[in-house]
Amino acid sequence: MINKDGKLFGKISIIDLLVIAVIAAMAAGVYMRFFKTPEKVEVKTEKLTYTMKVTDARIYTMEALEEKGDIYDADTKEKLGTIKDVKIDTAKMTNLTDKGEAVEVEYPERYTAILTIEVDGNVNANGYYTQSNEPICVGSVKYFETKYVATTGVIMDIKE
Amino acid sequence: MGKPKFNIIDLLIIVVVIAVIAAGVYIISSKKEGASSKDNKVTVEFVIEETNVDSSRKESYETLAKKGDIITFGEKEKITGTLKKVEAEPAKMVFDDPKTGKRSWVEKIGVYDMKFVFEAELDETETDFLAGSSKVKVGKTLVFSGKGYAGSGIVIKVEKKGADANDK
Repeated sequence: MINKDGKLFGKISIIDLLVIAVIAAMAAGVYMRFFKTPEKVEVKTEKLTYTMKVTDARIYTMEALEEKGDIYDADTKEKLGTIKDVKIDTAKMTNLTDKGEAVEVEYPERYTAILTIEVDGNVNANGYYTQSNEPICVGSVKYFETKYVATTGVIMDIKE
Repeated sequence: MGKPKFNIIDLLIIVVVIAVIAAGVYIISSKKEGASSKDNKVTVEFVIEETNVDSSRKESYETLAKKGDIITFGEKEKITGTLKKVEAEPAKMVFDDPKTGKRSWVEKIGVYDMKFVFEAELDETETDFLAGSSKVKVGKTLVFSGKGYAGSGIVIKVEKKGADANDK
């Protein structure tokens, strides 16, 4: 099948075949990435409101969150919405005493913020998304940035 | 040595290599265009906190770092600003009372948190204040250096100064 010159059936070299295979794989990848039309999913666009909780942060983070403004996913840079309201409270935590009792105590110098965020989003049978298809799911952790702060929050609830 | 033969596979390889180089140039130039859209300079006062500094380093900072020092920020572009103030307070650690479960902060001995207040002309974009390519926002780490001293810490406060400070 392969002759002494390394050619398959005496006509085409193995190396040339490998190169063709790599080029074909790259071309397929480019097609899938840039030209293949995604399956049409029925969506409706509407204003979504969701809340995000930032926990156990210092007063500096809270003050910066109170500047409000647009928020972005820190990794993808996609816009996640606009902060409309910030509610701040002292952070609480559960500790154990030496008797093994669980007690709720204040975490001094640490705060919790509930952010109310509005975004023009997409809603379909699979869930809620921003216009750039960032999923908005209760329970998901977002490392986000505003102009004034970078921090982490957890999505608590979503309303259409 | 015989004449090298040029075949269709060689041509394909050349085409692919040119396409990859072109794509790379396009991606890099797109990123640079985005970066150069920041031509709006604003005066920003910001505070960097360096934590758990030992007493000898604290004393060095207090000796060397003077109000009005010219400071450079960032590791690459070396953006400059001015030092306005240096403050030190004892660093703290958490203590959980075993009897009540109550949490409190206890001062450490010989260890300090240093706060450096700076003012600089930064680039303002829709999403960031930038010292070169370094974002200046609460929660981000920034390195700085002055005459005979250098440090890094977390940004804890950012305040835009000037006539358009209310345009937020």
